[in-house]
Amino acid sequence: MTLSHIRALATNVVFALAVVAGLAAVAVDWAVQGSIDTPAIIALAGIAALVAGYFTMRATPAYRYLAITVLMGQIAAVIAAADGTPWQTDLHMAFFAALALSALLYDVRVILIGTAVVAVHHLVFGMLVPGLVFYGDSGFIRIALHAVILLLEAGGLIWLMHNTFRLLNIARDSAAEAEAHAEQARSLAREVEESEVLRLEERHRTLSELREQFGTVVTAALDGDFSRRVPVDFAEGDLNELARSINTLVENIEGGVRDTSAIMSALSAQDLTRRMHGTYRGAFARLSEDTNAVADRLTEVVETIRTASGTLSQATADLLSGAEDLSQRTSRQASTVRHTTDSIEALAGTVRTNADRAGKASSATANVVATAETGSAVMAEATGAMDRIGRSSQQIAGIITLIDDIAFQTNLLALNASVEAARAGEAGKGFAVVAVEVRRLAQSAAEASSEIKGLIEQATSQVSEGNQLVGRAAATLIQIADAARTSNELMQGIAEAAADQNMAIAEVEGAVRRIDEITQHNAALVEETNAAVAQAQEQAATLDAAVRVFRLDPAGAARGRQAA
Amino acid sequence: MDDQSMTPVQQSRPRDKGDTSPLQFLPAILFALVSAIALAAPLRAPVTGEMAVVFPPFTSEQTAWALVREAGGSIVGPTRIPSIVVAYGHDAEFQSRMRALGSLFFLAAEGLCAPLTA
Repeated sequence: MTLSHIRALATNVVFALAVVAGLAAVAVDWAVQGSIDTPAIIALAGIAALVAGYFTMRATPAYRYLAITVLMGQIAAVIAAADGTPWQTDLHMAFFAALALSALLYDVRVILIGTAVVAVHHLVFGMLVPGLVFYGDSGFIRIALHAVILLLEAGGLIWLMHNTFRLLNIARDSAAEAEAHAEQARSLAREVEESEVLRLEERHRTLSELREQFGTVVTAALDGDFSRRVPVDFAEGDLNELARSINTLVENIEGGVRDTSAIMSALSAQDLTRRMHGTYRGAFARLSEDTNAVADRLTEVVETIRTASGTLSQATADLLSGAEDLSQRTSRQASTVRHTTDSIEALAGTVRTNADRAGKASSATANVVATAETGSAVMAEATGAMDRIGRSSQQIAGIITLIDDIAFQTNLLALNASVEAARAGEAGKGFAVVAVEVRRLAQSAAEASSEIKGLIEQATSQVSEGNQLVGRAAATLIQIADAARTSNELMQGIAEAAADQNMAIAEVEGAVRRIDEITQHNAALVEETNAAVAQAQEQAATLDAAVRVFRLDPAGAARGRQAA
Repeated sequence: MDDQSMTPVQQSRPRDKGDTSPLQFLPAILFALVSAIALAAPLRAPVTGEMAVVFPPFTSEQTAWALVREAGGSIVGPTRIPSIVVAYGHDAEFQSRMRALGSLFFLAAEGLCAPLTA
């Protein structure tokens, strides 16, 4: 909350009161005077002025001055509107209340302006138009009384405001004094903090120096140099004690490492007889025991290796002999497999040729079957034709018989005609000649038909015989077709068997080829194994020579042999 | 008022820039003048009839009466102020003649300008 906020809030209160007073003036003017007259117009103008001032200058002192002026003017308007009523006198209290409220603005000029407006209002209008100010008789004494009361109130308010500002100054001085005390306290705190910082810096410097010395010693130790020591001339006894502890630690490490290094040097010189015999504690005791154990284990291992290398040399020699034998046998096996492969390949070629031929024979037999079936069908058709020829011959024989009967009847008729012509005499002489010719033609026809009949009977007999022969030929062709079909099935079976045989031979050929490859591979492996075994024999010899350079303690060697 | 509220108050005081400028009083003065003029409408004198004639200060009552008579007006009576007298104008040119003879302005004969009856 700031003074501006307080003044703004109070100004808004004055604004609200001015609006209320203005509306009251309008109401009173309407109620008392019966019309909207000058007081009501002044009141509305005051509200308009305040609204305009709120939007244009509410953050300036001018707005405060305008607000208190309008408030006093609205009260004057209310009193003027109440002209002629006893309430005019009572409404004067509003001036004093408004003046008291003006003190809330914490501005002496506002109080002075309010006082001046009321004073001028009373003096001018109380003297010139007393009806707008007072109910009843006016007068200088009455105006003076109001003025005295007004001035007293204004003076009191100004005094109150003056005291308020003095209190504010006192409070400000107290706050400044408190701030000074606080600043002094902060200064003291800073001094304490600075001294603490100096102490911490000194300790930090000492610790840094100690850390640097520690770092030097530890770095040298990490590099294998245990001759460095931390100086023990620090200002603090605790740090010197810590430095001495570090030095003792480095000395102990140096002793343990030195003894261990001597043992390791002897081990590197193939001397397995040295051991650590000093008095050690803790980790160094374990290091001593572990170093001696390493030497003991190494002795046992060397002894074991020495024994094993001899055995290994003998074993590799035997293995080399066996490998050479295996190599020779594998070579022979490979040669045999190769010959077998060649034979199987030849056999496979023969089988393949047989299969092809069987296939061709099957095809030829199938053609024979088809031809025989065709011939059988042709023979069936020939049999039908022979039957039809037989039936035709029988029909011709019937016709010939009819012709023969006609010739016989014609001969009889010609004979009868000759008899009748002869009876006719001369008149029938010509007719007798015709009858003789007819008779002779009838006899010729009878002879011809007799010959044809004989031929027809002969042909019929031959057709029947031919028909029998054709039937026998057809039966023979059917038998041939059946035999050829059977032969075709057999040839197909032979061809399929040959194909299966060919596939089997091919599989056997592939298997034998793989056996050949495996045999070749085995031969190569045997050769490699032979070379490896030879190399292993050389390595065993080298190992035996390398192990023999170690010098062993006889007692340790005996323990190693027992352990082995 | 405690310290916390004091400091903002002190810091806010310089924010009233120009509060001593005379222009800050102008809106209030204008409103007061306009209101006073409007409220003083009943003081306006009629063109003819009874009216208070205001002369310059220190004008004697005898001089005032002489000037009223010279302007053709009738004497009604004195007021509480010697330089203001109540006269009766018979015509519309009375006020112009009085201004020509030295009067300042004219008011309604009421209040302080009412004629003394005793």
